[in-house]
Amino acid sequence: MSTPPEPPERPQDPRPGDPPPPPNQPPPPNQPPPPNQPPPPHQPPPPGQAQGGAPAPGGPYGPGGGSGPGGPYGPGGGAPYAWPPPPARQENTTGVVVALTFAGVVLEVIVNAVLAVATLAAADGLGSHKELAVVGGAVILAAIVFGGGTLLIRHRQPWSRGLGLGLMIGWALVTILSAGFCTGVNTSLYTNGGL
Amino acid sequence: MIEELRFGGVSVPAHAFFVGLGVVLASVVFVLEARRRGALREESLVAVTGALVGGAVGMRLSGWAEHLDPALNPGIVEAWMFGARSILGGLTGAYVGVLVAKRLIGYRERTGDLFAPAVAIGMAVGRLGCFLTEAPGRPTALPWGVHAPATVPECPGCLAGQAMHPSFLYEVVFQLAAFGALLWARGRVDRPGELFTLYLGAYAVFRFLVEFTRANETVWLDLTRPQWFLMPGLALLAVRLTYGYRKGFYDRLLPGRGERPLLTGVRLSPAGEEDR
Repeated sequence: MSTPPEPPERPQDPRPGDPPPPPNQPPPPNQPPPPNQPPPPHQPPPPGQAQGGAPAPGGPYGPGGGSGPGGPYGPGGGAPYAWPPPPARQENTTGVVVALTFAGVVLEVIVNAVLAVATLAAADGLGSHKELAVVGGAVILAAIVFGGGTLLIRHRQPWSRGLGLGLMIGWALVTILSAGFCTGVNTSLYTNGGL
Repeated sequence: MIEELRFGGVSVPAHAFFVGLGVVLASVVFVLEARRRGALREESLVAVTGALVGGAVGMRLSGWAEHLDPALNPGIVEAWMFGARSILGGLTGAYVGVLVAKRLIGYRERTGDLFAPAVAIGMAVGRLGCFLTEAPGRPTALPWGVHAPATVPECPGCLAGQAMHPSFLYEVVFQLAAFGALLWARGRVDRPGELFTLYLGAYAVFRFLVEFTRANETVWLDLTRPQWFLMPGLALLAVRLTYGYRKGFYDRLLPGRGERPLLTGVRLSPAGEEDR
């Protein structure tokens, strides 16, 4: 998981009032490129279009800018003056991650329930030190959830990241919402003589 | 006091039911808010994971530092197993959890504004569970005071035959009002993170005041443990909010300041801040 890098700044972007570009620069985007030449690179609109006026239409990277409140040097609004360069196309894996997160939550609840049964069975054989079984069960579950979850996240695949996050979310939800099974938060279980 | 709710033939613990419902509603609001802000992405999910894990740990371990004298505090295992489910501990843990999770993945953007309305609506619902299962508050002669039914014997802190403040309902009303205020303010506070700061400040002040109606034990100078816990936080928040106010972060929330004219010699930077 990594944040996409910030687009680099464009120190050469013209500002309102700057002299026109020298002749060796590509023509403005409202003029068609000459034949047999590649299309011009991504360019900001000319100053006349950027200052005030109607909102710009939406571009490929989001909606256009609306009419702004106006600054001290004239009316605002219009499109943002300098468009960032188009980012590299990345595969959108958020849906896979979210779906596997839900699966991870369910998996954690299942693991939790199985471990709870094992803990209760182990507690039967511990005489007067039954709480040791609960502590042991909680530690084992935490190791599975956070150790396994961390390994899954570090695997860097969308499915594994979702599963790892889901395991941790499931552990937190069980701890917050329930008597805890094996997260160790079993107050009602102890007071009712369950162990 | 209603310990259990019955749905058909199934009985569900009332506290856990409302806390769970609050978590579900908070999740829905979080997703909607993230979508509205264009932040519905994996990094936000990591922040949620940090919040939930940190909150779960914080709410239990808050009992570990219950007394100033360490000898009076339970051990960490005992606090984990039998400690109170403290909201303040949970919120603090959730805050730290988000910071840690974002640090682990190198995510630098602020996410508090996504959480603020979600936390408010979640706590509004969750507090209904507290109202149904815990001692409601201190004695009062106000007409809306509530009585603990004599048929429920297990109500520690309840005063038989005496009306008590429905302090958890006060909090429900506050959280619903805060939720509405956050929806109103979210289009007027542009600076990332400031909405969350405002919510934290408002809740800290409210919680400090509502503690005077809660049934919590007073430990020193007639103040409860949550009030003492909140003291340094309130001071920090006051400094932070004053800073934001002076910087103009909340101008569009305040009548008269939103249209503040620019001073002579002041120009706006591209980020909207004043350059002199």
